[in-house]
Amino acid sequence: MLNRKIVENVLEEALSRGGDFAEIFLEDKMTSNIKLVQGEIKDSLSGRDFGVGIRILDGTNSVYGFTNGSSEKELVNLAKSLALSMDGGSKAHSRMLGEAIIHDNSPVKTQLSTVGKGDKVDLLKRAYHSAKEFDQVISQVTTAYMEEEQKVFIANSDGLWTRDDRTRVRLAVSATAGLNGELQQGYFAPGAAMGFEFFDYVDVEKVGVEAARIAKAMIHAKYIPGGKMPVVIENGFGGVLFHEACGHALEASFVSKGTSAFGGKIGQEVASSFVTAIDDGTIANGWGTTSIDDEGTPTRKNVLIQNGILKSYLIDKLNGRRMGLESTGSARRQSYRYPPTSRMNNTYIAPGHMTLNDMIGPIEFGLYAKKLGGGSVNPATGDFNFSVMEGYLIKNGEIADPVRGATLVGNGIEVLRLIDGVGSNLKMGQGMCGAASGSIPVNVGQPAIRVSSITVGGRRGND
Amino acid sequence: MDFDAFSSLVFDHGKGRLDEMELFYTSRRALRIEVFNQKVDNYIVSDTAGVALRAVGSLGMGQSFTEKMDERSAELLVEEAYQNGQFTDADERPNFAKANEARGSRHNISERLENIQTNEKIQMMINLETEALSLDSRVSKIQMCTYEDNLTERKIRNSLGLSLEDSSSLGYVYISVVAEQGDDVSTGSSFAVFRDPGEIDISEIAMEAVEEATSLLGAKPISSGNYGAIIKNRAFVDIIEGFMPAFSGLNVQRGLSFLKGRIGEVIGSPKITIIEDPFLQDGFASCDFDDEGFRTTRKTIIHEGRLKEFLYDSRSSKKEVNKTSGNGFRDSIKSTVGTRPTNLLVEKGSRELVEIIEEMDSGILITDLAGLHSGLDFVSGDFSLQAQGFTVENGLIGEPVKGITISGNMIQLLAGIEEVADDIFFGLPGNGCYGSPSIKIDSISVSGY
Repeated sequence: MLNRKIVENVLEEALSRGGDFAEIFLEDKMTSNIKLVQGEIKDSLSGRDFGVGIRILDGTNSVYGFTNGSSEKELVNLAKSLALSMDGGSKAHSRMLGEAIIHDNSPVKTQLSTVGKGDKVDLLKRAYHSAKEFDQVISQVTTAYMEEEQKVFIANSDGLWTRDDRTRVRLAVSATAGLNGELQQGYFAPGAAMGFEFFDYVDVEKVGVEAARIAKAMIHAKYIPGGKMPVVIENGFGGVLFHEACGHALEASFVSKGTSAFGGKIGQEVASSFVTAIDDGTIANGWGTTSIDDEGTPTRKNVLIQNGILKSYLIDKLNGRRMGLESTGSARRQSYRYPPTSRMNNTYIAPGHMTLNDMIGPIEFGLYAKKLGGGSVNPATGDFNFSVMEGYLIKNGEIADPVRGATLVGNGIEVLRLIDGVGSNLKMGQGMCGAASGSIPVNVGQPAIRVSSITVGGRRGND
Repeated sequence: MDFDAFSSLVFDHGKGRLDEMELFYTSRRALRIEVFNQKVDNYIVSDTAGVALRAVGSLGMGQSFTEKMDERSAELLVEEAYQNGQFTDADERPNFAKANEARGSRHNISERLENIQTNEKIQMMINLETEALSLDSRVSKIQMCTYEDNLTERKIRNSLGLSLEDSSSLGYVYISVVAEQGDDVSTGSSFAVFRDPGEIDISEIAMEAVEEATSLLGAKPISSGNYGAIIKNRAFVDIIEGFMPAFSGLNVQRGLSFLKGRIGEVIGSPKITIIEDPFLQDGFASCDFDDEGFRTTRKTIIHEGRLKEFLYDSRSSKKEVNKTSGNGFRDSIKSTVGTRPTNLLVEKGSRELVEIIEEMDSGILITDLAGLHSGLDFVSGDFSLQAQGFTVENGLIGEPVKGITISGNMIQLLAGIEEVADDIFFGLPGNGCYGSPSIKIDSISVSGY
């Protein structure tokens, strides 16, 4: 993508006025999105992202610049303008660049760009029909197909020269149920770091049915009365609980600045002994998988918490310098428009041994959160919230009436201690995670878990 | 290759294959400075541009974009748009703006912003960080201390001869602080948006963030129940922004809004009026034309509780009102044209917030909300949001509160508005710029302990 001479000149220029590390990140990405509403294709949009980011580190300080240009002149000029912000200290040199051989964690069989748009439109229509025809109550269905083929090239003054091709595909179905003037939605959107062979593994009709099933269940639901109660959170996207409640606060970007509730707690008990939590960037074809991170470090499996004991943070190079620790292969960014920072890849709670009945049985009154929506966290305080997309009351040890409008709020450290049951049915769900370095694909996952007490936001007025 | 050269190349390539074409160009030059421990911690400069093509061929509309402007990209843009048009619904073809429908372009470029030196910006941020740390001994850390300024340009050209361009610059500073007392941790933040850096009052920004963080130390949940509530301007503006997609003509037509079929109906208290004003003096989202090149218009969305009109882009307007309201905007060149407001304002009332608090016997003052992207559903109108604030007893602000949610439906909320204060607050401009005063509502459902 860039020849060796240009890269060497840019790195030299970047280090000409101080700084001890320089890096080039080039991205060339093709994306295609097709959207179907009520049986018709409303939008089809595709194109090319292209840009280069240059970063200089000087100890724990960072300067970053990005541009769409890629000529030697444009890049050298950008490096020069960045170097001007350095203090003119000692001049470092770039090491000889050697090509790194990487292990491909997400092999692709059928390149997405080789498949005609007509085939992709067919998928959308199939998913649409299965959702629309699921039940009369389904009033509206939107389906979307998303693909991207991102090529990244990374070189740095420590001698790194590497590249990675990342292919991702996703099908999203949003179904709306309407009854007596009320509307409720269900959403399901599986995705993977895979080529078009993804649809050999995913049953398109079932994706539509799942979204419609949730919408139908919720249109017949009453608003949940709020308050503190035990909650059982089902597997898959339920893992967003750990992602929000704990994962973000384990990112070195917060830990290194002392603004994480988990700072300085390695080796300490931070969760109940039921909890083992892992972030793994290497899971074959996982939605959040990459072969190398966005600083060129191979991704790996990081055990974050083992039987309740905090084992590791998620670390990128810059924050690693601040903490005196090595990168864990966790540097990520949405695009060349962001300097990388520590983020999650595929994060999950490891399976335990309980069944769903074991967990629900002893509960007199509580919430069974079958599907969660999104959420957010304040990493400094650990206070989090997320919405329940599909919920049911638990009454006398059994799953009872469907309930809508529930939100879970709490504190990360507190809730981790209150996990008193972990099931065996580990599953992953796909999401987009937004933070300082942009919006990135992540898997969140878990088996069903039980939290002994959590504040459920609901409505009092309706009962 | 510059945009002029690139656009002729694209139009040449498209001729014969595509009937009508529209090119949308944006560029952005930005500087971001993050200060940590009295030093520049992150320094980010950027200069980017990109082009989007919307094209109508023999079938529907096809769309494509590129961030590289060269010969090959011009071909790619046309080819992708052509292919994308093969499957799209012919009813979804927008009208492109004609040259005579255009209006003069404004350039909101701040010379003062252009002239301020980088080291002055850095010094200002170091001062802000220092000030925030020194105001209160309970402030333990600065989570973020950021300066940004940017200059954005838009250019639109279409095959009907339209050629428009404008530009705008602005800057903002943002600080987020952490306060600690024993095991208790809380955060507070504050920001200021400006075109003239001389207007920034560093002390005020520092004080706001510090006050928010320290006043929330010791916050606890309250018991679940229905409470009378005052929602502070900066919290209410988040709710208004979150529900704005429900006012989109496109979403209404697609059955994705609880407001469908309610134009002309009273949906809120007579105290609530919401307007969109693209010509607001010094408004950060002020502009004369939308991203389709149509004239923007001032409009009343809710007038004294009555729903008056929705926001339209070209294609959604074709099916109903037959005239776009000049609200066709894109999030970026990579997204399709949707609808959003320019400057959106909840009209202020005449009373001071303190008066409204003084009159409250018992209730809560909500100062901040979280979880807006997941806990607020513009399709159903339902919301359930993480909240913090204070209890109010006998007209006085009482104990700090967190770990609760407030829940309800937007219609219920709008109908329950009893008072509107005079304290307009504008959020950070993003896709549009939203402003609102604080409001008081009769009752809201709170879940706590």
